[in-house]
Amino acid sequence: MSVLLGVALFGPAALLVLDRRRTQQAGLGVAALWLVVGLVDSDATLGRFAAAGFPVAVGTWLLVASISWPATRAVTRLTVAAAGLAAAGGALAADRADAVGALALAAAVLVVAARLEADGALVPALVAVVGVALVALGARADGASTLVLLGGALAAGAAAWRARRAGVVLLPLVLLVTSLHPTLEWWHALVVGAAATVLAGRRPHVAGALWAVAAGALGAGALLLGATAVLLAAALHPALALTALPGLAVAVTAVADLHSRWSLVLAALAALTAVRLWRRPDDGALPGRPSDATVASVAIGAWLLLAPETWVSATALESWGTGALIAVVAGAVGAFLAASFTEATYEAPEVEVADPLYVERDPGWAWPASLASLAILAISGGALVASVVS
Amino acid sequence: MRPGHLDPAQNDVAEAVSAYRLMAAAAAVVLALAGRGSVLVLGGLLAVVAASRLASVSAVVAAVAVQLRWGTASLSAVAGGQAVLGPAVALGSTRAAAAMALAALTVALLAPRPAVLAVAVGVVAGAVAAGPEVPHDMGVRLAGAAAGTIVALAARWLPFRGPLALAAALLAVAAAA
Repeated sequence: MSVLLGVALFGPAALLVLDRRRTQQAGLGVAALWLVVGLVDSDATLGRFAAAGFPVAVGTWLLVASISWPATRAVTRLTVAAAGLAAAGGALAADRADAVGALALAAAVLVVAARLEADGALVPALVAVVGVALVALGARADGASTLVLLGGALAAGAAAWRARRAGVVLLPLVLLVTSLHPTLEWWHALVVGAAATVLAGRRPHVAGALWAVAAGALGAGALLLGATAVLLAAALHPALALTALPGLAVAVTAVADLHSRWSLVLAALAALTAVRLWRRPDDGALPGRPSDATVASVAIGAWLLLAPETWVSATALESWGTGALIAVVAGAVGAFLAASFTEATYEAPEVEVADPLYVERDPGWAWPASLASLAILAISGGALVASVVS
Repeated sequence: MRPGHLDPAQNDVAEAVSAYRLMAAAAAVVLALAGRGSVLVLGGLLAVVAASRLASVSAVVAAVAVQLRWGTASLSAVAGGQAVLGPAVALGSTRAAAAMALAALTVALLAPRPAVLAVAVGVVAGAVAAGPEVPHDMGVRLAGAAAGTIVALAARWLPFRGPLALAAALLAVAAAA
């Protein structure tokens, strides 16, 4: 299995010669390879790289497959390079400093990609770099976990801000790094949750990413909610928000165990976010054949919704699979009866959503500011390395 | 095209959605009666049945309230607890009982206009309020289902049901926490 892990880690270098369309297809292939490696032997290692980080790699390469614009080779290559770094960072997550280092390198590569995209990507890239710099400062031996949380929220929000563009590949690794050491501070989760609520109306996938960060802060269902955030960013279909239910079940149990009145405020914010997120299932959906990345996202979402206990072991999910199985059988019988005795028709719902339009131009100050943020990132990374070495 | 006039394509979509709502309703009733699975699976199914912004969110929030009240997401544990200790609306502290009454009320307020969906929602509401595990206390179970169905059928004509359902669900969470 170590050989396959090596192929999954370093094989994507071959994607650097492909055009955008083939990169999308190959990205799905790499995601599938990571999934096989993780499911067959998640204990496999190759040097310091571990297959246990496969969820990050699968999410990262799924997001690569979802990117459909621009078609320039330079941006595609930079995206592949950043995705490879991010997937490697996930495989190095046993040591948080290594993972943060990979995150910093990927963020730096994506600044160049944002410059080449030339459609308003630089400001989100700048925010992401600043966020990663804060994560690096907070991840030092004597660092503050508040910095990790704040930086993680900034970086996750900025990565998810431009779905189906290069910067989005940073999202899975940011979510992982943020959740590695929960701060267990209520105000962290409340601030991030409030930001998610504000953004939920216009940027549902950003709200999903921020709630995953909030869950990471409280150590509650971060993996499951992170998966939902990635699926939302990849497919953009509002119905995929339903995949947050298993994560919610785990989070409710964990939050209830903390016995705080603040949980009520958090619940109200989560409900308000859901109200602002809600869309009709056919709202914005496109007729026709969905893209491969969307099909893969829906398939993974169905797996998450029907059998989350195969993702994580949690008491809140013990009876989930049984209920889902009964619901599927009962739903099928209900469908048969409805088809027999009513005029109801069954049509597969449209699941493809159009690419978002990003029409802004990069402001003049964005590029110099991005270079300055990269310098800050280098200093933060240096401080992190120094703290680890000493 | 004037508001209120559906073109055939839109009508097809509406029909397809209602078919899925029927399937979700059937699944929700079976889960509630069997007392198997997770309460949040039930909440998700009710959200599909409700198919509107506030009502769908309220369904999930009500499910969270039930999970908080019982300290478990298992419907089997919820039904088993009611079989041993009594109906949820008459069990424990006043606050805990109120939480389950509000959660059941929330579910009843989700009832869509079609009667078949309203009956399904009412049966689930009855299971939340008084749903001991079958075959224990069948009288209580039937009374709960009947009361839930009556409230759900009546609630279909209530104005501002969405905001009311969300308010009741949030109060249920506050009481259950």
